[in-house]
Amino acid sequence: MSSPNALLSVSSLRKQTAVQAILETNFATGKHGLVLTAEDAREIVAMGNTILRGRGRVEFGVETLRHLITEFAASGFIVQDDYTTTIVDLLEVFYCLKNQSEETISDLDLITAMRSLFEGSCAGSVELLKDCELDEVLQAAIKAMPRQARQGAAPYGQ
Amino acid sequence: MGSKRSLQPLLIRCDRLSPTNYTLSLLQEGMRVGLIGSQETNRLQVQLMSLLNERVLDYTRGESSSVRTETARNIMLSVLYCLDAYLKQLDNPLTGLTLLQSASLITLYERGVVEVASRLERAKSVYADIRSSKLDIPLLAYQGTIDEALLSFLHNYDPAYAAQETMASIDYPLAVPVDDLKQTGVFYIQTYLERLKLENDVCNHFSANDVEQLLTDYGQTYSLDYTEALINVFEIVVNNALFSVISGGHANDLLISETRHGLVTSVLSASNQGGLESLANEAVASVLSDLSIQATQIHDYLRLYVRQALLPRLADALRIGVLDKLVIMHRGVEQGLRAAHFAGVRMSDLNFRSLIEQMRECQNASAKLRLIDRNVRSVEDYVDVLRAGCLDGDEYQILFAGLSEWELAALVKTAFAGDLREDLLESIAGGRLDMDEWQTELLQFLQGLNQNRVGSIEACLEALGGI
Repeated sequence: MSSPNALLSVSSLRKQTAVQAILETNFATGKHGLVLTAEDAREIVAMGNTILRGRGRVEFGVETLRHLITEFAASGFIVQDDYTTTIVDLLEVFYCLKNQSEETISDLDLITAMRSLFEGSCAGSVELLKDCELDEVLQAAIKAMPRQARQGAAPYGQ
Repeated sequence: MGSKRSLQPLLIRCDRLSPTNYTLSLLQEGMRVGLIGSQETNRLQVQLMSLLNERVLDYTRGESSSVRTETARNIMLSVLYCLDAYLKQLDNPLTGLTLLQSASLITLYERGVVEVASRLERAKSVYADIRSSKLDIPLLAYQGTIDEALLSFLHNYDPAYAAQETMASIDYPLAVPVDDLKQTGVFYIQTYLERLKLENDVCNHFSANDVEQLLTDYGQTYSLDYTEALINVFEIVVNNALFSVISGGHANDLLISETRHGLVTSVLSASNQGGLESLANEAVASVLSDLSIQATQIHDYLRLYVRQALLPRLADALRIGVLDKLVIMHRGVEQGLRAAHFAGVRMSDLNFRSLIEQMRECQNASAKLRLIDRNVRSVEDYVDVLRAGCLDGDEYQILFAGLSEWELAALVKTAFAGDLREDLLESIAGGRLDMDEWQTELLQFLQGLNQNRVGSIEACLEALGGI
């Protein structure tokens, strides 16, 4: 506990909490035939932290991760065989878009937009989702928003 | 065991506590002396991360649980800054450690936020005083710092997410600078403002005209346009007040004549380090008495300035032989001209013709200008050289740019005798329809100068009896 940097280094997805949160998603995703083992969960957490470091971001909770898993698990395009890899790839797309959007889109709206594109123009391909332009994602997010929320709020931090 | 613990507080070493990382260094010191155990450290770390989590969610308005690393780092630093703000103002580090053990970190943070907010309010109040007592001097860094940089800081300071930031273009240097390694954010600004206010208060004891004249004299001494220089007014004013007292004058006699200049430099030159110190201390007492300054804060600041800045500078000036420049001399008309290149005798016709021939043979501007600089010693010769038509447009401009205010005034007086009125540029531009090339170039040069420099030339011209 000597410097702010050292403190921040322990703040990203904390292993135990995050693994537990991932395993808890099995209750909701089991009905879609998708289940993650403890080993899968540890892999997702480890890869998630690598992605966060690579993208220069710090994560302070597990709710977003939990929401991303349960949202995409409902997609017919996700299969058990590559479930773990798909989640990791989706995390990569998610944090990449968070940076690109410069904090103009909330976590939930971004996940909803990603899901909408994934189901639509990407036809279940994470590779195609990765290639989506930010504008396309933002448009998808706006379409998915309730009408009154479309008026737009200022990015946080301003 | 109990008696052993009671001895441990004595081991806390304040020199190990970082002024800019106080809370964490206090915890480390607490761990080192055994007052804080690893369990408590873990508890505090969890609380700190939870506090950071809460602050980040507040920052993102609950819309994002991740932020860029830089943003997270800034919010963390802001949280720690507020904790520092509260813990540092406690009577001793041990009280801080006890609170860290007994109170929740969130409570301490909230008290820190209150402390920071209160500092900001105090800073705003001092700033209002500074605005109302601002010196009327054309010093760009001074005016810009007060009117723009400090105002912008006070408007934009963000205690919630960037309390540690001191983002402001504060160009104006204080006589005793704030150590930015020890203070940041609102603490830095508060100290800066308090010192600036004291400096203004002191300068306001002197005649505004004298202060401005002294600054002009300073500019002439160092051959610079003082309005654009990063100089401290208090320092220049106080130095000359102290030197005035040392030369037997009143503190208010800021404008030191050549005779008194000689006197003060000889007194200072004859003193050793101890002598300088007592001379300066006695002079400070006289200045404070002459100006009837009672405020203890000003007494302390003046003594701090003398100890930290003036005495080392005096010692350096004596060592490298530039004391005469530290004491700013007021140049009357005679001294002004003596300092200019135009106080010498006219050249003989033969020498003048030879000079013109050499200039015509010159291939470049710098060679021509060197010849003028080495040979011409009177304004009449100078004008004759200009009339001889050996220079072209750019060369005129370079030549004029090298002249002091006194030299330009003497040249203008000779060039436009009879046309000159109070508004120099208007009288030249409006009065002459049949100007020679060099006169047109001179007018163009003058028109390109800033208002303050033109004002200085006008003042010299007036002293020369040209207006």
